[in-house]
Amino acid sequence: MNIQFKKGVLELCVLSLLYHGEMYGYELTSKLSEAISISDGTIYPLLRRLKNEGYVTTYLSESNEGPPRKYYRLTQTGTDYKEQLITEWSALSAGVNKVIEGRLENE
Amino acid sequence: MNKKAFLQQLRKSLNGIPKDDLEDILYDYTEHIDSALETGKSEEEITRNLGSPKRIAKQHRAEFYFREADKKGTTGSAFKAILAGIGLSFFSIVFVLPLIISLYAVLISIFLSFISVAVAGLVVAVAGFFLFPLLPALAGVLIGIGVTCLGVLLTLGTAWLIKIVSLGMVSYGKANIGIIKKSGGIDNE
Repeated sequence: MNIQFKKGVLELCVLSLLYHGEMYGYELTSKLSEAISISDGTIYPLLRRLKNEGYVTTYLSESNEGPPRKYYRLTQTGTDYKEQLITEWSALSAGVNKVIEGRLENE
Repeated sequence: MNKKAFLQQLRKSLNGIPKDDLEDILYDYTEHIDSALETGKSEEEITRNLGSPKRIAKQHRAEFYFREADKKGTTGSAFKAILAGIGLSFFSIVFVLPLIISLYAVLISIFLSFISVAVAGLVVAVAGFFLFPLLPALAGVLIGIGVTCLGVLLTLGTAWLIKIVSLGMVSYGKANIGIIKKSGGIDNE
């Protein structure tokens, strides 16, 4: 897949995953790499920015095995922002589909 | 690359970031590696999936400096942010950096020449005072004071202009970073 496509939707994917439940970093990257191929390390700068902008909050939680984990939770602002991104994404992908399927000239 | 080498390289490349932020960033990657180790993956495989620590550090630096520049709005912080931002793209280094440097060079030259005007005005005023018998009615002094005032005004005006340009740079840089940020910066070219 073209790299620019993935770049544009990564933020939306992270927010959508967190919408369905709180997750820690590794869990998030594992889920994402099931769907799209990314370098795991680049999720963390994105998460820090989302946190700074108030879209997510974090808290530490002890785990049975391994280190304490930093969990990410979507805020109300984050949920609103996710909805806005979904609207934009849907409009864009619908438009692009029209163009590549050649439906545009028939209208 | 094993866990230790990865974290060492990351720490080295994050040089300049305040300790609290630095430790927080390193904690995230330590936790990530340890969590992945729990699932039975090898250190080599985990760090390969993470991507280059140098590149990861660049993204964190850019993120950090833009946040700082946004808070402070000074020329120094704007410049750091610009440098961090352009670290992300070759295009910017080749095309944008010379433009930014020229712009600042021009602004600083103008600033300095207006200071010279103010100083020259002072000199004329003082000289006019000593030449009083030769020149009529302290004209030299008055002209000197006028030129000084003009120089000070222009200097202040230029300082204000430099500040506005710096703020503009931050916005421009943020717009640039926005493209990279939306991606979360995927580790490919």
